[in-house]
Amino acid sequence: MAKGINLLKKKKAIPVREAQLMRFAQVGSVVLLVFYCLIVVGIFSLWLYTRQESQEVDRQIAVKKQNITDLEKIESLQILLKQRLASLTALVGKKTADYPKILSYFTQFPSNEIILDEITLLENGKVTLSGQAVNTLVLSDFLESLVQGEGDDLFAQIILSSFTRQEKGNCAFNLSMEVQQ
Amino acid sequence: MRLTTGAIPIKESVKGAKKYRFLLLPIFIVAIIFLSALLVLKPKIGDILTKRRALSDQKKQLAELMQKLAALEGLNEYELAAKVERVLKILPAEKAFPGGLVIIRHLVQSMGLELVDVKVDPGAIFEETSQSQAKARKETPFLTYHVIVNGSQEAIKDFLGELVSVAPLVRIEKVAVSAGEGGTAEVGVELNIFYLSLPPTITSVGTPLPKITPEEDKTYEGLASIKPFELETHLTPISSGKENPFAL
Repeated sequence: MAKGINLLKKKKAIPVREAQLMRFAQVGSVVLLVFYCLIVVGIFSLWLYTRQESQEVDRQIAVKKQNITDLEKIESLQILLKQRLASLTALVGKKTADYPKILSYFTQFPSNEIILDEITLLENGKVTLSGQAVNTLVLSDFLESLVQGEGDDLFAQIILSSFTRQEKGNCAFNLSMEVQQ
Repeated sequence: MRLTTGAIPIKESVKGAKKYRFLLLPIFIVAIIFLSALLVLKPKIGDILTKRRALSDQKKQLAELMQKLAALEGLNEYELAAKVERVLKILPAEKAFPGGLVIIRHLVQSMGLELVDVKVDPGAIFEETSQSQAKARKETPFLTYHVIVNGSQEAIKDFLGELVSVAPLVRIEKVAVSAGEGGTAEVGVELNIFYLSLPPTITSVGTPLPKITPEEDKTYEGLASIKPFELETHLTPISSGKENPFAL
């Protein structure tokens, strides 16, 4: 009986562990490549999207700038109004002395009894007064009206700076006061 | 005879290399990934991060511009122009000289007073220095007038009252009243007439639109008590000799 001869070389059997390692390396590398490609596509998409978004925002900025430039006249008026009103607020907000009212108060005294030589009123509310009274009684009444009467509402601080009795019985005096703000 | 390379025979080393041939593809793939990540992806990611940051700033700028545009569209040009015209009369862009003199003369005459003396130092024509000094002090620049008038006490009181209610804005710094002759009084007044130069830049697209605060609105309403002085109607025309004799 004829016996067949196997001329093919006997294939060496690969160990199971080595075969698994080979398969893992080959499949794993392909998976890794696919995964990497996905990441690359994602990154490029994000880059493209960002670029387009940036271009769109740039376009919108240009449009808005043009719109604002078209309203330049209104803007300049608003800036001018703001500048003036800011300064005026600071100026008008500052309390100043009511000069006519203070003068009215001092001119109410009879000129034959109290002679006011000079009244100086400053913007910060300081008042200095120099005058003469026909006698000490009149001066006393004048000072009393300043401290207790209408003057009390008008002035915060009243100081008799000097008082001189003259030969004829007249009294020269100097007063300094502060207007109530 | 057997060929050897060092300690390992060639046949065995070839066999060993064949054994690791399956690693060629993974190594090639890893190398490609590494190289492309280094040469392409890294710069791209850097570019994206830069662009995202810039985009964030751009969006912020766009939001500000939209806000400014909305505010501008909400303003009425005619109403604004009227307000500006009024505040410019109260706080003019130029020194009130000789306008201040005309106002003082007009008030003195209308109150029946006698103008004894007026002193004013108009200062430099070029305003840069005084403006910057005033800016440094955060004050509104002004022109100081020293005025001496003579008249009845009632007229002086009216004069002082009128001075602060006339435009351009006047603030009285000092009043010195002394007894004059024949029951009259002489009053020396030191007053400041304010002015304010125009802002150096009127518009700028990038800067936000300044808002008028409620306090400033209140100030504007309060300005109603100040009467603008029509300078043109009170200026005495001086003939130059070149007037048209046929003009009606």
